[in-house]
Amino acid sequence: MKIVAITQRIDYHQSRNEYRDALDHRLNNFLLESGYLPFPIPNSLGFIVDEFLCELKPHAFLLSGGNDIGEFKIRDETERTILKYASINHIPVLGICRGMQMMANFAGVGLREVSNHICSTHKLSGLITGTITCYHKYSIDSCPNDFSTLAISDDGEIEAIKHNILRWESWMWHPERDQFINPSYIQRMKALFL
Amino acid sequence: MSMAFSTKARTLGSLKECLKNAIIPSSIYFSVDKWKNDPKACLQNINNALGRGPYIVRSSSTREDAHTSSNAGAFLSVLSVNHSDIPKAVNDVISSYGDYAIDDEILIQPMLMNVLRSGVAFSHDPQTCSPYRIINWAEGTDTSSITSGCSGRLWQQAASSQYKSPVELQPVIELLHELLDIFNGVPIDCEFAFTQSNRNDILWLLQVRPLVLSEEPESKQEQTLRLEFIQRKVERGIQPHPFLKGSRTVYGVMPDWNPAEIIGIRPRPLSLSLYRDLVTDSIWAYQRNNYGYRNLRSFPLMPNFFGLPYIDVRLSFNSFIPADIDDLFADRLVDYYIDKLMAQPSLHDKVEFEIVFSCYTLDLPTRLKCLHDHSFSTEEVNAFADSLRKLTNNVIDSKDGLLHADARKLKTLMARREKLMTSSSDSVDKIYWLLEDTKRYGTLPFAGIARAGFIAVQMLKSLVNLGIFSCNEYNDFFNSIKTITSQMALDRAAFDKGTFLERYGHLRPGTYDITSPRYDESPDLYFDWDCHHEMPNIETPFSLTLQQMREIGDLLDEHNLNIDTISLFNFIQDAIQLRESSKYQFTQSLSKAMVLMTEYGSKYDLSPEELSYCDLQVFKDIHMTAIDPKHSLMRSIENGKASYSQTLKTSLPPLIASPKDVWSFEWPKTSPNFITNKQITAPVTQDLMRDQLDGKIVCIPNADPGYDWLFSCHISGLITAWGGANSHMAIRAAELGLPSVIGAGELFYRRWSTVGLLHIDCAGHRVEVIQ
Repeated sequence: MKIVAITQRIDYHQSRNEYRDALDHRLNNFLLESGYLPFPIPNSLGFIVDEFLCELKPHAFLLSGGNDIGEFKIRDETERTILKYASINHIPVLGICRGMQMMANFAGVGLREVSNHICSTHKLSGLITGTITCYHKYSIDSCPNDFSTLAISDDGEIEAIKHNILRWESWMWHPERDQFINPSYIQRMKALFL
Repeated sequence: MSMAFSTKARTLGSLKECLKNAIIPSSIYFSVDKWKNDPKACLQNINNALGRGPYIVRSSSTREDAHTSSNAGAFLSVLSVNHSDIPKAVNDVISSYGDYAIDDEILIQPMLMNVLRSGVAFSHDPQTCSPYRIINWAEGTDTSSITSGCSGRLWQQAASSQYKSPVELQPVIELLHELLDIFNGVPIDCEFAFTQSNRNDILWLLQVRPLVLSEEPESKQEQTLRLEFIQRKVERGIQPHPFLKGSRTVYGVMPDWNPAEIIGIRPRPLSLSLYRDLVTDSIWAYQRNNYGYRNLRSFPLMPNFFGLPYIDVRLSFNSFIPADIDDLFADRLVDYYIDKLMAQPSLHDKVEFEIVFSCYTLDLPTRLKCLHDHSFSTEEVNAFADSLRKLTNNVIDSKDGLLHADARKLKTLMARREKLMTSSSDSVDKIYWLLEDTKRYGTLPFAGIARAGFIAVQMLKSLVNLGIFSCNEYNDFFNSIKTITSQMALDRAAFDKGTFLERYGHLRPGTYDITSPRYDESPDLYFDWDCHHEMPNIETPFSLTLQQMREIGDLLDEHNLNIDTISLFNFIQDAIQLRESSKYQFTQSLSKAMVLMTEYGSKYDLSPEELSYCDLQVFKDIHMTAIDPKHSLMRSIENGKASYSQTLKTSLPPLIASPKDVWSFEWPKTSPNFITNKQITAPVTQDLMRDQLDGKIVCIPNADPGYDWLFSCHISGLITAWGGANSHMAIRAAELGLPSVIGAGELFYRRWSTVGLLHIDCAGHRVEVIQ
């Protein structure tokens, strides 16, 4: 089975004064069900993220959700190094929710606060269609250079993008949170990671 | 062993343990941050690991490699640095980063001694994004010559080429393949050097980084499949042919009706099909035959390999042999011509001047002497001269000469165009008849007149060779001829915008390219209408001395040419003027047809950009058949797009002499044509923004007459990749005294067109990169 490296969210536990990396089990299951081995990347690697990746040589990356950009700098830096590494080694990346914000941010596009995309359902139009449930406070400002928009929500927010050359794609919604995982999302991810 | 590129300079270090095909010099790297905080420790490290120097201090910024923006080579490398000079070198490299990022690094290696050759190697061709292994190298000790901009030599071979590169490059090819294996097929850009020790060549890998491509490269298998088709086509084509003289052929982009110059080496399907229809499928052969050369009718002159057009040189050479030459002699002559071209491939854009004998000139007997050295007998050579004389006499005759017959046809073209355009025919019918007439009364006579023009120039040159004319008199005579292009310069000064555009509005850069706007479609793109033009002074009267008249008269008698001196000069003048005006006339019909095509396409929401992918045949089908026009156009466009995507992925040498050239070849150093004897130093631009051309050296890959507007922009110089000694641009640049390099060749063009400042020394045939 091919290794897909997943980034993790950081949770701060005040009672013990600990920062912990965390990963939703449903995201692991999403990868396992698609036939990949999930491998979580610690956020505490500091300067050796790069060495870690060169040793691990993952087949693809999944940038997970959770945390706003700027909330934990070490997570931002870790993911930025991952994107740089993926870019020069032509490695596929799927971004989910914050992952998409990160990808857009890496490509030089800003974020914008939106009000009605937290726990709300939206209809998509574009190359990906269907109904999704959103859990995001921010949307990306515009489609980054060298990317194309894959889906737009009924109120005009960009909900999915893909890179024109690299095998990079991002979705604003959480496919793993649906009670029954939509098989078309698995297919899309497998086509991307091929 | 497989590896991934680190985002830092570590890559070389980690390769050191596993690389088999090259040695990696010891190296030290540290971040800019570390240098700023603790330079002492950095220096100590260098001393411990690399010895006492001299060193090479290099940039290693991840910004050089990131996929979204390549800065490869944008930063500095400092050579031959002594230990004491390291701080300065490091700081210089850091300042070349501009705003440095924390993780930008400095890489220090020991300087290599006894370097034999060095260069840069790519696993993929950045232009086509196809898996072509490309090695750009220079012999000699300077390891920075290639990276710092010297053109060097360029080797290219397809990923699965069975044909080996030159022995000295073989290790680099193997190194590229090993690196591709290690990095899982990620395209590679590396720097290498060979040193000599104990008579063995040792290969060093100095730097390796991912190569940034503008699109995902195709696979080795796809490329191989396509090249196999081309190889088979070439194998079939070079065989002896029952109807042709000469035992083999070569294919070239520049000889004869040079497609590289007229439509470019990768024309869109509509361009290609138009040029084929109007010239190279059949018209070319009719004209040659009409003028007394061998009959090549029904032989298409210009095959194409997945859309890359080439001239079948054997056909061209056959067509330059007078019809009354006997078969055996013709056979040997064609072989002789082809052998001569293969011995001097750089003559490929000058075959009519330097290789074939296609008309009689006053110095012909001297020029024919070389045939004696190739086992042609005196009788044969004399018979050849006689037959060329007969042919030439038929062309230059002032009363019944072929030249004037052809000139009359152009009048018919104008009359019929007028009648057609004012008629009530629908646009499809008009397109059809405009193009049919363009052939019969346009390109056919133009081809003839161009031949006469060629004979005229050859005659004039022979006067220079015989010492009757000086080079200056030759130039003066040219300048005294009033052509349509010099007329255009006059009219530009004399007329207002409306009148000027009425007369010249049909011209467009890229005569066969529907996407290129006509002068009247985009007048402000090409001309600055506010700028007042001085009336150019182009009237320089020309006269012969009595002595010259007598000498020429005697020569004409002696050589049995049926023409007197005055008539000869009339012929020369007429031929050159008519060549220009006939081109102007037939392009007017062609241009009109393309306007109608554009209008027709827009009815179905098809842009010129989309129409450029269709084949001309679809317009003929719509004219002849009751079919759904939109459906037919769209299908043709779709086919064209699919085949053009293959064209864009294919890269072939300018001269294909054998099947192996399809797979691997060295880009030839062409000998560019330098125009004028001037010198110029000026900034370079490829961007044809009219208001920014003032004082610049303008670079365009191929320039046809439609680019004439450039000359009204006060440019300082002109460089083209393609174009022969007698091409339109060469003639125009000479007329205007504009220092130019016409036909620089792919290799030089790429180098020169991308720099900041160039010095061109035309007299010295030298171009120097200043910045």
